[in-house]
Amino acid sequence: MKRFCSLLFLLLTVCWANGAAAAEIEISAPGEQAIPLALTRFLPQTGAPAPAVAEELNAALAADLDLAGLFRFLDPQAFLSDAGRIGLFSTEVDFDQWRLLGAEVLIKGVYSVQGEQLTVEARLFDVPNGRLLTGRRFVGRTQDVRRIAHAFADLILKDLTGEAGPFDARLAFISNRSGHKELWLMDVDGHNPIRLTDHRSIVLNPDFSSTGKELLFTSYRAGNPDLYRKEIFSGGEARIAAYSGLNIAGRYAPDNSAVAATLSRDGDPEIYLLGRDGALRKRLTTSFGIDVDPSWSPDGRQLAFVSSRLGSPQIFIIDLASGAARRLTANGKYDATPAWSPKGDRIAFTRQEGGRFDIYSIRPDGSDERRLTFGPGNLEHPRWSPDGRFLVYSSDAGGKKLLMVMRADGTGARKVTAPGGDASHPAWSPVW
Amino acid sequence: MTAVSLRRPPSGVHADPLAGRFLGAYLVSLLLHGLLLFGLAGGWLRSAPREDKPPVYYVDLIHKPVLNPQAGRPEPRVAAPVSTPVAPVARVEPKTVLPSKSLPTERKSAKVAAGHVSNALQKLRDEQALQQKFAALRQAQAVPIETPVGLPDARGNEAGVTSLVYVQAFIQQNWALSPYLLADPAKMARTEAWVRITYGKGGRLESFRFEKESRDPQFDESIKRALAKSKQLPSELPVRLEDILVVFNLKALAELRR
Repeated sequence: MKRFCSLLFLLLTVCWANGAAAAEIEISAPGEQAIPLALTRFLPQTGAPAPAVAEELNAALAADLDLAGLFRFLDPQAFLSDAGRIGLFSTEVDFDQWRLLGAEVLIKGVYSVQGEQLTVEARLFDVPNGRLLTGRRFVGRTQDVRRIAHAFADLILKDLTGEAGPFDARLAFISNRSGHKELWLMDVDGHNPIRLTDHRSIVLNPDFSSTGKELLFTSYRAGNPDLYRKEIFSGGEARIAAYSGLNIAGRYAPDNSAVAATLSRDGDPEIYLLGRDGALRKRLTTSFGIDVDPSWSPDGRQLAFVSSRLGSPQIFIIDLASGAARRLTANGKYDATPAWSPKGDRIAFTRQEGGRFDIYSIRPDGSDERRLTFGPGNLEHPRWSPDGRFLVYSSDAGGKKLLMVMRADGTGARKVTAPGGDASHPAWSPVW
Repeated sequence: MTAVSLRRPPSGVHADPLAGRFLGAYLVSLLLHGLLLFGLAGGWLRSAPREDKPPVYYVDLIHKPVLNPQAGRPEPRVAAPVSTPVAPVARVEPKTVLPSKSLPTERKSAKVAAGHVSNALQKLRDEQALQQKFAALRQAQAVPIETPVGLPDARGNEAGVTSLVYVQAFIQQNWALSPYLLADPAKMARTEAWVRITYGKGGRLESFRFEKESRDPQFDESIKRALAKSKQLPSELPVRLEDILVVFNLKALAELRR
């Protein structure tokens, strides 16, 4: 009898467990892969309205958030009365109106212009839960309006993703708009270009230090491709490597303690480790054939570089401690300009196929190679944004060289160069 | 009473001769009545007209879907055509009808009638043209249905999908998550959170609690937003859904982006 009872109990337990397991739902993909965003027009808080300021604020913010790929913008034509009201606190916002429109996040803001001073208060709200997510008051000059928008876009990404965006940063690039190939600096969206060098020669391959305050580049100013270091804010400049032959493609180590560069002082272009002052520390490669274009892993222990030691140029990775090199790419005939992502998970590079260059990315272990671009023109010199979300590269589609930016998965490509001259060899600064 | 009288008298009691005769007469009467009844019934049965009832086919339209309820029904018998000689129709010569005196009125009315007829014909033609246009439009917009309609085991009183599937679809529709939002997109396929939810019969989300959080705060935040948007279902539920486990993950999305 006791055995029967225990068996019955067991059966009942199993039945109950089955019943409980049945009441389960699995949702294995979101219904929408973009967050519905309502971006309202910034309203004047005090003083006279400045429509141009509001227009530029909204345009710059919208462009950054669009590039981020996180959002689906709601049509401003559908906005209801709350869009025309100042709402800096959650108690001042009529969330029901925004829920009606299907918004999940809402951006509201105000500005005031007093003389040359611009004050912007911007807010990000969570509509379903009716709460304030983040907000900040920005004070600057009226010409800083775009920078304020970029900073708020970074803040929005920080709040929603846990990692700040890279929009309040700069792009260094090479342009011939002054008649010579010089080093230039501009905003990430192509505004406010500034010329940094006046070498009246050929300047190439800029690279930011991890602090964002220094740049390395190669210049033919003295007739030979030498390596230069430049402080951006002071304008101070020094030639740090002027060995015979090539002194090109200098890259700061992630901790700024050293520089990897390609020198041909011994005849063959090889990768060397230099001090920040250009002092030679170590020759890293000793193979037959060219070894160029080093790119540091984020931990500073490895370098990806291009080598023709097996015939055609391919991407290799060298371990700095052991000196052992391994081949990374094997599917192409001509791979070049590797760029290790700041997160360390992928390496972007260019591959020549059919007479054209396109951009690819691959995991550092050699798996999951993906083609990111499909022309037109030659798409070269990929460099990562400091957060690893985006890639900037140069394109010669249409005959003119210009800079493009896209998401790390190859989507959302767009031009960033302001008109005038060619632009190439970009580098994305850390967020200032 | 009869039963008592049919009983054999207990031993020791003398039998009544009158009672025996009564019993015999009773039995004879019963037999005769029975014969009469049988005769009458037999005659009536014989005289009743016999009809060939058509077979009845029951089609259960409630419990089982029937694609063609008339399928399998025997074709009705068609009587063979009888070839009866048809007499030729006598030819009738047309008679000349003289116009009556009321000719103008008749002409007028004939004209009016002809106008009505032509109007009616025109209307008919227009209607036919319209019907043709409608038919062409219907054909152009018709979506061919190739899938079977209905549920094989349905009882006809189903309210559509089950409540769980309904709730699942509603929450999923309200869940917006960009892959770019994830802290580590490489771990997309492994990101998962378990949430226990309770929906009242009125379709109101009464409670939810995270049973297992993912390690991605943005993922969890997106789920909270989805549940906040799903706090009221568009329609009531047949039953209260209590402590339903909802597993949120990105397996399908990861598969799609592979």
